Amino acid sequence: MLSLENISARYTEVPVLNDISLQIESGEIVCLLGPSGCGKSTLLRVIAGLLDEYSGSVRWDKQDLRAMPPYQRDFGLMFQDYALFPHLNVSRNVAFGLEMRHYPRAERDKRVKEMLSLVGMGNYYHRDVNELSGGEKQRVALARSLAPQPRLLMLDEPLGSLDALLRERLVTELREIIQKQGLTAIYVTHDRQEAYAIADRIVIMNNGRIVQIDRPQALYHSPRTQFVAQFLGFTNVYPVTSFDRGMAETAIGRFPVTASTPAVLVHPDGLQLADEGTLVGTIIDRRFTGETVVLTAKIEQGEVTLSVPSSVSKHLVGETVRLNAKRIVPLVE
Amino acid sequence: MTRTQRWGLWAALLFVPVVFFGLFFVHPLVTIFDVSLRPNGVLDLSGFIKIVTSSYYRDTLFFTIFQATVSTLLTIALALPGAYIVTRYTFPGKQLLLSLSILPVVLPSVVVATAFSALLGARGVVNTFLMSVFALTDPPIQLERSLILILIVHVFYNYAVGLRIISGYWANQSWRIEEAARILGCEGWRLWWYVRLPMLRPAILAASVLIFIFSFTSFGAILILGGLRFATIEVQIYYQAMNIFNLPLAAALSLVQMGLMFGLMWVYSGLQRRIPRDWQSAQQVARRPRTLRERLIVGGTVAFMILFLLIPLLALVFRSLTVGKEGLSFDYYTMLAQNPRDSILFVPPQNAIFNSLTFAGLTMIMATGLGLILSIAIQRPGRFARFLDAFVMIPLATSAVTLGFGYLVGLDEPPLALRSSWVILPLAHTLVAIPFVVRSILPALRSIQPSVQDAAITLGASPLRRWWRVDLPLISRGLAVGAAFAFTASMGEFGASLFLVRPDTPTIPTVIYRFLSQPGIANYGQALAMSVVLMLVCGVGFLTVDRLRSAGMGEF
Repeated sequence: MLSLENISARYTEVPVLNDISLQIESGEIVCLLGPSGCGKSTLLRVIAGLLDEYSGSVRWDKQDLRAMPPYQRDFGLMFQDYALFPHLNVSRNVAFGLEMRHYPRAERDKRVKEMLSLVGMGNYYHRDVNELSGGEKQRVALARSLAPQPRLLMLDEPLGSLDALLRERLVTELREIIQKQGLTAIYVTHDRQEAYAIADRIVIMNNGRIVQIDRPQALYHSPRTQFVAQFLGFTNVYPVTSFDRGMAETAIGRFPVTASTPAVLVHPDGLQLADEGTLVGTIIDRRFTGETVVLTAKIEQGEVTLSVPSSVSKHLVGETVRLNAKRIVPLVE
Repeated sequence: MTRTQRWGLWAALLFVPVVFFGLFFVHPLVTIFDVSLRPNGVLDLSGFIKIVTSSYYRDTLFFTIFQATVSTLLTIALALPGAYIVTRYTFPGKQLLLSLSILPVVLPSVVVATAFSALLGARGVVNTFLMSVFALTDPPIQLERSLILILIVHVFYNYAVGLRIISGYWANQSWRIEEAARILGCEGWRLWWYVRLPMLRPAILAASVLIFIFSFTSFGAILILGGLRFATIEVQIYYQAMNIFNLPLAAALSLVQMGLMFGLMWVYSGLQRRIPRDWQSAQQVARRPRTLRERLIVGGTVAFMILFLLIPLLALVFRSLTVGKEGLSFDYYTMLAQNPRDSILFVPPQNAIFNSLTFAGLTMIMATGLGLILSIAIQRPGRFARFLDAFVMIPLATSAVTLGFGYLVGLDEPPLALRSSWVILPLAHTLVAIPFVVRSILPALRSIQPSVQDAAITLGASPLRRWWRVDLPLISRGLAVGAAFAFTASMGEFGASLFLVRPDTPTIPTVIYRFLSQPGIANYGQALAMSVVLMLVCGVGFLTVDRLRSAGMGEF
């Protein structure tokens, strides 16, 4: 079990990590999700031991790791740019960690073969790494970090430089491989779809702080702050201008809430076109995305966007529509 | 190994080059200051004032600057068309031509000077041909002891420097800029004047400063081809120190020279920083020449490069086999092994080959080792590294003649009484070679991705093992290029050697110079033969550098 307690780090004067505390159970896949520059990669470097200017403590099963150099930690790290050794071929790259741990030759060869076939690169044994495509490099890098059986596997935006189609396929494969090996893993990304697909728990980070930790579905249904809501792609976030007897006043109307909060999210789950809807607006924009049509409607002082299955949407700009908003999520920040 | 132990080991390693620089660079130079400014133990600026006031020495300074300026302008003017066709067009044999163009960089000045004398001198190929065709009694082309020949040699030497820096920079510029200019109505000479030249300004400036430095400190070529009539500061230092033993004056000249060169090196490194190091992003827009006009331009430039870079060397080989003879003969080569006067003081010239190889081998080992440690230190972050980066380049700005002179006056007392030991030569050569080694290793070190090093660490490699298993293999080509540079630099080193060489352990360049300064066709023939030998040895160095070049030549 990995526990982080009050980790803070600064780069020159700017704090990049601010009082981070987090526990990761064995066998769990935790995803660090946040915009670039939020400190998630720095946190990985602290855990790996590559960055030792931090305060707070990194523990593994109660043991403080501060004095332990990175090469003794038994943590695997898969780099964003893969960082394959350009002077070694595919099998030698995968064997590197095993050689460092003085595995006997026969066992080493067996493990390298196993790992390469696990990631579907069984036929690439002798290939030069400089000739591989992005997806192939990614697989070799994964095999290399898995080979020495690390007690913790960290993946730093491992699919970042691949195209969308490949990414979608590989993320499922990655989860299967990690689970099959029974590994504890930290997965860093800025892509929410990737995070939803791979994580047991998602940690949302912003400006070096953790803003929310939740299971993917819980996170989707109840983002805690305006930042989280916006980062997860929700557009209908409205500041609350006044609060009076269980009703919050916003730019697009009044909604029932349990307590006073600075803002509310009109969750897309409960937002529908309905003839008897309480919100009345005019369509000012219509954007076709494929499966859905995204409509923007002007309601009172504000705007609402909603997705309608494209097969049923016949709405045109200028038309008047009525909406129902059934799920209002209060946002605490 | 703990962090403190690692630190201790590193400090101990770094101690070696620091002490080496202190003893064999700083100390000799400080002694020059001492001799110059305090000739009798008290501060005495008379030698210095003599330089500033006497017109003869002012003329020397003026001539040095003048010839360096003209050499620079000529080289740039000739290298620009070369850089243009190299970046713009592909043609058969382009790679070979590019390889060929760096050959002069590794050729010793003595060889180049002798080669041009074999081509254009009184007994050269061109004159002999003209004399036989037109039945003349006197050579029609009188270039020996003329400024023109010196300038031609300087252009020959520096052509590749201009070509590489400018074409490397050019290939990195977007051709869209030029296309945009064309659409806006800019063509022909206006394209050069308003777009290309301004765009290339950083590269042209950097190349110019470097070529100016090289021409300013040129020694062997001027001594051999110009003699005292065209004495530059370098030649004057040598003449004052070795012929008329006016040490204070030689020291004062060295000071002026050093001051100027440090200033120029400083300017150069400032300019170089503006030029991106990453050539990999260069866009490949080169294409085959299509129209007749394009073919003529490419063909003409290529023909010029081949003629200019190859013909002198071929003339050297040809004359070494024919001078003063009917038909071809290897007489001058066999004479190298003989002792014609049976003198006991005479050392057979072939021994010089053995000496040079030994010194070059030692230089290669020392310079590569020290250069490697220094490169690693420079690569680390921090102010010390930046200081070291500039400091290590200083030997490049301190001319070899100044260095040789410094050794002469600085290393003649115990415990450093090395002046009469043969060891002094490899030591001097090592200092001359270190900047080349560092400049070969640094790009390789800098191109290692930090994440690759981190990957090795997280996979369980300790810092030392990481260094051994990852860093070292990744810089091995740069290391080999540096070693080859060190070897050829030592083989061809002339300026410092002339000061420090012992009569019983001569090196190839000093033997060539001795042959050239003695009268008679036999001596001339042997000088040519010896030059061919030296050219061949350096040619091996050149091949090594060339084969590994793509990895390591980045910073020159």
